[in-house]
Amino acid sequence: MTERPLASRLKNVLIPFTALLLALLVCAILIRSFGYSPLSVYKGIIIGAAGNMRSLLQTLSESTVLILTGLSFAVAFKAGLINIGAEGQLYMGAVFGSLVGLYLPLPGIIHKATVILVAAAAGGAWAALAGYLKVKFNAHEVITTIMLNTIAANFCSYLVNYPLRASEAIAQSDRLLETAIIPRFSAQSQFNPTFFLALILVIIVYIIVHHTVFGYEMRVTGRNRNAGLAGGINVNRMIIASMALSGAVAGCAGSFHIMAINTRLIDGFSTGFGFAGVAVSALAGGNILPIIFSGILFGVFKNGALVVQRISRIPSDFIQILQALVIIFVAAPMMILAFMDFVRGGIRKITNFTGLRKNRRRTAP
Amino acid sequence: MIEIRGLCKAFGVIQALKDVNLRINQASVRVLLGENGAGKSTLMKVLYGMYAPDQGELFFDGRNTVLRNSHQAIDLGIGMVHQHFMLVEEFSGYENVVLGFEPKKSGQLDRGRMISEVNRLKHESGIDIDLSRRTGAMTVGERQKVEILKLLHRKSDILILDEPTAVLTPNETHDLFAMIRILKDQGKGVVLITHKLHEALEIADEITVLRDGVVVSDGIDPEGKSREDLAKMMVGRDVALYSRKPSPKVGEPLFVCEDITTESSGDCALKSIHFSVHEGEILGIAGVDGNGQRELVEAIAGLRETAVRRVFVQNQPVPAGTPDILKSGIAFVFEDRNFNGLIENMSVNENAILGYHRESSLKRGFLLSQKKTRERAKRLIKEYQVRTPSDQTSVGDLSGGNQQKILIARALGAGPSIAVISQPTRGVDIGAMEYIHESIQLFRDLGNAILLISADLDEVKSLSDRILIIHEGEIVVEGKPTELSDTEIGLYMTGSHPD
Repeated sequence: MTERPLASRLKNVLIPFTALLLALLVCAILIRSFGYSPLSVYKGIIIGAAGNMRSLLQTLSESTVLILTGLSFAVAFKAGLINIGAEGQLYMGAVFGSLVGLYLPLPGIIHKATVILVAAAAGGAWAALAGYLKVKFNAHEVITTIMLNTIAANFCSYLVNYPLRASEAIAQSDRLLETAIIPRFSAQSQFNPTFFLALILVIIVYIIVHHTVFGYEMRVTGRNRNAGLAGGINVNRMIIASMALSGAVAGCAGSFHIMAINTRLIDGFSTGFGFAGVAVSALAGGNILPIIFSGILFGVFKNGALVVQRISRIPSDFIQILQALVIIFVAAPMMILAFMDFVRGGIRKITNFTGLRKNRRRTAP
Repeated sequence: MIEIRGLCKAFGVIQALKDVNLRINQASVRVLLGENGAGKSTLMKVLYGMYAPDQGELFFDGRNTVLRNSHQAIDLGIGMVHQHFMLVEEFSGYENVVLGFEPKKSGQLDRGRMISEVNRLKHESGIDIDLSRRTGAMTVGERQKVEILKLLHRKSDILILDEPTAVLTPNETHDLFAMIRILKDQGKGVVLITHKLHEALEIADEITVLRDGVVVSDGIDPEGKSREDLAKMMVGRDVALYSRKPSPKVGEPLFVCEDITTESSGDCALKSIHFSVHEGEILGIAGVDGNGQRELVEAIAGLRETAVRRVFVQNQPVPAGTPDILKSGIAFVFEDRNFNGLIENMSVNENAILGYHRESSLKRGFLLSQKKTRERAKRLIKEYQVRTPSDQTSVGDLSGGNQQKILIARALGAGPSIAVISQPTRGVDIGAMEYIHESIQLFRDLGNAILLISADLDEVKSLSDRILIIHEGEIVVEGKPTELSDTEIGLYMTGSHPD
């Protein structure tokens, strides 16, 4: 961490906060224009997501994957890479994790660990492929990871539709072996131990990025590749390795979801978890530890919106609009600064106005 | 004629200019001299209408005038060439010259008149340049000529040139000065901002020295003044500029380059460069920028592909590639600190370990110890007098001189026996320059070998124990700095061989 003036630190908090506020505002206008009441929707979200212990735990459960995909994006970003491929890496992790979970009988804890490790390796390899293409052919990672997303999602779809298909009705596999399933804490919500694993992963990744030689080289590569080369860093290897780490985190997310929530591989099980990660990371300002908060916040939105949809039949899709708006506003800090100036100007006008009135009163006989 | 009286300008709590008085006369060259941050550019920006002064008056031909913006300044005949050129790269030279003041025929650009008008200006001012080419394809020197023609086209009487020589080769500087003299003879007033002392002495009719926002001396006649006199005014104390200190003891050859040859790929090809640097010796390589200096350093480091690369330290071949070459005891200061020297938005301490970050002395277990990293940075900051609020300050917030000191500290402080140092004081204040020169000499006096590459001839001559001159990728002559005259060196640098 660098020592910066208070003003710039404050800005680091204010910009994401204002971005969120603006996103909520614009989203409210959209909700309004579709004929719903934004106030009741937002109120419904909060009650739905945190109204009682059960919904709160469900929110944390929804946050788990979001924290990890956000972490995945942030790791690559630290190395100056834009990994839009968490979605595909998550699918690859889920697919290979499921294969181990379905067909490799192992004792309990070892089985679970193996599933997670294999998923991390699969997600990592899938992302490293994009890194390799960048290093070898100068193919931009945004393009390649998007392509690889489609391939991974369809690969999963093929498996559950044909070779792994377990039921006539639904494209899904058998239930994983019992030893590979991570049980929930209670039947009331989906809350399960993977939430804590995700928090541990955030901390591990934070330590890797900020307190190891590998992380140092990664950050140097991300900020000035030429200085890295001059300083003896194998920049190409760092690009591939950073992508691999980023993908491994997404792969873990995939396996957690399979092991604790779905208990089996399902066609199209990810509802855009990977892309939501971009918003989670953006709201955390590209930093690693704040991802925990932004991930939980998006968990609130998601879980809350599902509740709202169940009760009032307002489609929960507007959450995706909200995510997109957050990215837009965070990505455009100048817009936020202009908005903050505007607000400040407004406040000044108001105080000037009231000040004037006070003066007038004073001069009045 | 312009006169400024009692000018004050503050940015927040920083008083950039304090009670400045200045007169700019027609048909005269006024040099504004000062360290970075002395207020030169601020003063000129006030004059050009870009900043509103807090206090003070501006008299234009005796009339009190308030400038609201630079358009007004242009209308009054004030023109400015900014340090970073304001040209549209996709346009031709002609188009850039007339931009904003185009000759028109029925609402469209009148190309015929544009070309004849600009050619007439070219002829009058003696500026020789082919303007039909795309500006983006021009050299820096040519672009500057386009900028100056632009001012002439706008009929500017006062020309402000902000550090015009910073990016020029010696020959281009020479051309520029010739141009300035012609303009002066035509009655133009020229204000030239610089921190290069010999240039001030060469071109100025009058010199004004600014220090910390205050005019410390005004109307200095360059006649009979030395660089040391000016430096003293700029810095406020005696400065030992370019003082020669020969090596106490030159030992055995330590760093031997038998042959470096590269193939050209759009840049300068090196033709079997060979030299050896001895213990306790500074070997200087002088030459006009772009004659293979950059390529040579990159080839030594192994950052560039070479056809032949036979480099030895104590008869051991030097590995290519930075991690290994740094370990073999050769440290580098590359020529462009922003390109590959520093990571601007990382802290001083993280920058101070780059290249040496794998050393076990910085580790705690398998972690990179923040404590040890900071301790090392603090030691370097202290030893090399880096002026920074803290070791956690972002490097981008430091002045160029202090950034450069970090590079020197990082390289020399890592305990190498050989240092390859390229352009050690480019864009650096006099104070920092003096200190960097001392550090380099001190490092040599300990018995280490230094290969010094610089486009600043004075620097090479005063620091080096032996000089090589490079021209178009070839070493053309070797000699002692005391044996070669400036004229000889100048001729060798431009490729002609004096007899």
